[in-house]
Amino acid sequence: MHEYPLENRLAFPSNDAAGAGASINLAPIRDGFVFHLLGDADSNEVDLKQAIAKIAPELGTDLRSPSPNQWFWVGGVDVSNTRLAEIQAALPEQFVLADQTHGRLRMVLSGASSRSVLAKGTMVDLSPEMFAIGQSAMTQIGHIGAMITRTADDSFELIVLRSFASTLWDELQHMAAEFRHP
Amino acid sequence: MTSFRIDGGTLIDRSDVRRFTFNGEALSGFGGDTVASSLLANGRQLVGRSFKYHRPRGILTAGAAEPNALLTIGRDGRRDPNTRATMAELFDGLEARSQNCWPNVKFDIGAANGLLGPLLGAGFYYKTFMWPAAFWEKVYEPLIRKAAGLGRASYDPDPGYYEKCWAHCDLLVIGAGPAGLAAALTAGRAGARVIIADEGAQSGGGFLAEGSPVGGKPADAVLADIIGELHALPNVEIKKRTTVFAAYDDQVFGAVERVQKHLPENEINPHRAMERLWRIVTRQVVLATGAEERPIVFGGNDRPGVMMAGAMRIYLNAYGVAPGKRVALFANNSQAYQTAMDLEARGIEVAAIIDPRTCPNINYAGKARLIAGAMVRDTAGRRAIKSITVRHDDGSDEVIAVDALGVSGGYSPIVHLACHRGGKPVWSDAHVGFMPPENTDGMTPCGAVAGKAGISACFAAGGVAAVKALAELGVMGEAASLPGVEQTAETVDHIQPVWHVASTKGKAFVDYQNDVAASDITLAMREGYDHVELAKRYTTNGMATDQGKTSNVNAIGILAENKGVSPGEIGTTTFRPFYTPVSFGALVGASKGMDFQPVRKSPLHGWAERKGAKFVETGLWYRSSWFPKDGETFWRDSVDREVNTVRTKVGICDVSTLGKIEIFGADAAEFLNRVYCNAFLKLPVGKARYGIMLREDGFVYDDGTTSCLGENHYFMTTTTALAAGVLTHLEFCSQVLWPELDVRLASATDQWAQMAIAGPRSREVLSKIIDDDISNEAFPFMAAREVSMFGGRLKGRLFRISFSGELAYEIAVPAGYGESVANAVMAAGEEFGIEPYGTEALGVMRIEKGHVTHAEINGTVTPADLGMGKLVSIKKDDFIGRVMNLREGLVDPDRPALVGIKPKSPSDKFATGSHILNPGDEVSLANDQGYVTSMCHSPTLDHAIGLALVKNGPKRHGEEVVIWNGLAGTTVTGILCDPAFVDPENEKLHA
Repeated sequence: MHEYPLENRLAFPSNDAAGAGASINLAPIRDGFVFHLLGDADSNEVDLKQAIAKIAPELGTDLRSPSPNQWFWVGGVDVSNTRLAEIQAALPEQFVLADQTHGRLRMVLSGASSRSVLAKGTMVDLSPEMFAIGQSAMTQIGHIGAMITRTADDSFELIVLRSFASTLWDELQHMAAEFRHP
Repeated sequence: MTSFRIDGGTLIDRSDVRRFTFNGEALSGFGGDTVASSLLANGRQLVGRSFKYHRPRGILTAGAAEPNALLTIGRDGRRDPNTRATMAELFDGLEARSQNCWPNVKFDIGAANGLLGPLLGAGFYYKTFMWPAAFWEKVYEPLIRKAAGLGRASYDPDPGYYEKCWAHCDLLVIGAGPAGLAAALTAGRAGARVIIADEGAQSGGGFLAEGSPVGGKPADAVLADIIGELHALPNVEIKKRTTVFAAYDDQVFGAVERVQKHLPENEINPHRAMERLWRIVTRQVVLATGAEERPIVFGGNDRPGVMMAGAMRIYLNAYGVAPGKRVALFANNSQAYQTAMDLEARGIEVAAIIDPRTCPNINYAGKARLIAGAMVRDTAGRRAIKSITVRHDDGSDEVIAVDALGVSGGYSPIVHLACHRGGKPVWSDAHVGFMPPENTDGMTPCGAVAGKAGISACFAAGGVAAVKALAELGVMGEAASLPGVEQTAETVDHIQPVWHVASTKGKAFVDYQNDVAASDITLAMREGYDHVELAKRYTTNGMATDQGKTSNVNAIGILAENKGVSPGEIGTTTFRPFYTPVSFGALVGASKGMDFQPVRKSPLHGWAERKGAKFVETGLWYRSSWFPKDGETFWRDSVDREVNTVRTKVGICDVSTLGKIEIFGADAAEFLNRVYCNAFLKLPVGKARYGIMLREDGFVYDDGTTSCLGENHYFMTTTTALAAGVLTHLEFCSQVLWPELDVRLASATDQWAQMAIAGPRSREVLSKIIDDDISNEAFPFMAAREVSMFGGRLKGRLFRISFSGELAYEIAVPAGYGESVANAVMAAGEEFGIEPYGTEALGVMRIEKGHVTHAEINGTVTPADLGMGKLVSIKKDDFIGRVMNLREGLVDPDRPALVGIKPKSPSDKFATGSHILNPGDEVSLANDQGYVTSMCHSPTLDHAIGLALVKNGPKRHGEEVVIWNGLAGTTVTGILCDPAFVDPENEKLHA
């Protein structure tokens, strides 16, 4: 049974489609994890950060909050099943963890035109003064639900359900086309 | 070029010659021209024919309100009918055509309609096409539809790309005339985020037509300074060619930007939108939309060459176009005198100024003859105006030869956006117009829309309005200032209302676009349609693309005059979006063709594609429907083979699209016990259970299995269709109904690739890739737990559940590994003859087994109707739907209940939706016994089978019935039977 090759396939189209324009770039985040943390009604982000920093310092404490008492914990390191089980077991009772690494995919849209591209899809005001680095918003890009996080000056991470990933990727390509072909 | 193009023109670039065609004739204009200005410059006063009477029509305005000069521009997929020539920018190669005329605009056969004018008044259709009634649908309506309309839409697809965008700001300034520019400058200097939008190709509004200097400098130079400063402010965004067309709640405004509509084909960037629809979210609004100059209703007021006086000034000063060589003006206000002065300054003869006021208080010192206390009662000329007839105050008539007539009946503030949210405009006797409503909800009207006139007054008002809006935002601002215009005409105007010239001769048009004459308005009144909303609908005044921008107030004035009341008592019709027409392309945006809606792909989509799957849309999902093989030409060839393979060997089916919900929490079991009608409290770890959810009204909502994977951890599957709905329902239960329960819910649909491995050889196949013991003893029917795969390289979740009725498993693995695992299953199953099967085969097998889907769970059934009444717990204190499920009507034994149905003769077929009748009964729904919910050809039994909901069905097995297809008008004799056609003893499930 060991002869079966196992490959973790991304849901995005070929990376070649991403391209690298002068003012816009779209790239998938291939590695890492997305953990969905669900807290009880009294839970808060400070407690959660302290807990995960202690349990898994190697994974960082990069959190996005999609809704009250819920967080996506993301990072660029692959986590084994064994390590995941250890983390789940070590979490304080007020939190539970569901692995969403395969269910929610990440990509990064960056460049000077990134806001203009996203403005074609989301009603969230992403201007620097209104949307600080590190801030997240659960929104829709066109008709597709997505979570936007500002990760740098002109850089935004998008988390999308795997089943919608290729459509969102294609739509972002269309939205960005005018900046690649001015 | 003709003598109509004169010197000057602040908007045109004479070095940029642009060639275009009008009705096939080659003409030319300049960069900066509109189609209208270039046509006028070429001496083309006649540009189209009117809607009903096919009367010759020219260019009336120089802006968005144009009711006459509607042309078809472009060709093939880029053909835009009903384009206002006054708004369309001229580009090289542009093709424009007149509308509503045949064979051409000069000789139009349809003009014969004019002879029938007396018969075609208001309400003509309603009165004429009454009989015979049968003619309406087959004769009258098709004829009317053929005759109606102006331009024709193209049947070719538009090759252009359209899109939608959001924008955000502190202050939205609508209109970039003097008031708007002052507001933007004021707010921009104060640091606010400002968007200033204007429908014109150039910002400036009134500046663009101003022939007089502003503060000692030419108006265009002053404008350039202002625009330059605004461009330099990083917090100010200027949106040109952008019409704000709607005001919605919560300070959201709709706008459409003509991004590339003004470019020739060879300059269009295919990667950029042709038009962009903006949703602008703002905190405050300055409304600087200006005012629309009103026509006056008099005989022959629609003749080409009759134009708004203000429009004449724009063509003269902004485009260097003379409206004529001998011009008259007919105006009841003093602003029109500025037009006279500008005309004379360019050497154009102004033959007369006809002013209804007996003592107009003006500072006019030009050469034109001023005829006070007089009205224009008629015009003459075949295809363009040749003369006007003036009725003097002593009752005498005078004919004056002219080739253009400028008209001004006062100004109507453009209040539309202030009224879209329900506000009603307020009549002002002082301004002789409807003013914006007082409570405009974060919107400050200023400039001409607020009754101001003149550049300096409007500019000052804009600054003040911005300061007020900034104060609402908590920002201090100082109003931008501007030296005043050198005044040569009076600044305080005394307008004498003139709606309709009483002594008029010939047809006097109120609404040019709909050919509504003053006589139509008065006819509507006589016939009882005197309310402004009724009069609009009876006469069509104010309808169609211009929505009465030039006609509504005159119609209201005529109604008021005839009723002897103020126009304020008549009121206006309701203002609704859109202010001006918005193309379907812009409204649709990118959501067309294959991009109409998002495509949702299973993690096994690519795998199925490579296996040759035919896909079917299921909501947004694309599900593999069947997998044709070489030689299979009909879908059922494939489906029958797939079913036979699963029944005799083994098959693999993608079920990843089923909804999956992780449920955590100390009270998760109690939670499930309340949302399902059957018991879940004691579901042991490692077991799955079929569950039925009811709605509060006692009917079945959804079904599925829920597995207990740990002490406080459950995994629920839902139907594909209701995945989102069930999660929402559960969240509602958790957050609202039972917040005291410790339950956490996470959607996991996309995390897992899930596949059904079904068939008598399924265990043997899975045993080759699963490390754990999955024998019947170790992993019995309804077992569910995490398993090790591929020698510990992967963890998956294995469920021994079956929708097909066969020995079957569902294996879930992290989605990224889905294709690898599917390939491994196929490799492991090769020796057993494994084949992929799709949803069609799945559907056939579930009908053979008597399993229900939403074809049966259709919102009208109870668990008992589906033969699962015993599942409903009688021990539980409560669950959703418990009480309502006990209603008398829901426990009636005569209710339609699930039953199998098959044709008496195996060769007969029947259709889903067919009704069940008792033999001998008349074929009628009055004798209805139930209906077929699902039907298929069973390859296992080699005849048609079905499921049906039939009155008292479970007690009628073996009974002969009539299957009536009312649509096809056919009947087939059928036999009611057990819904489980295959393995009714469930031996396969437990094998």
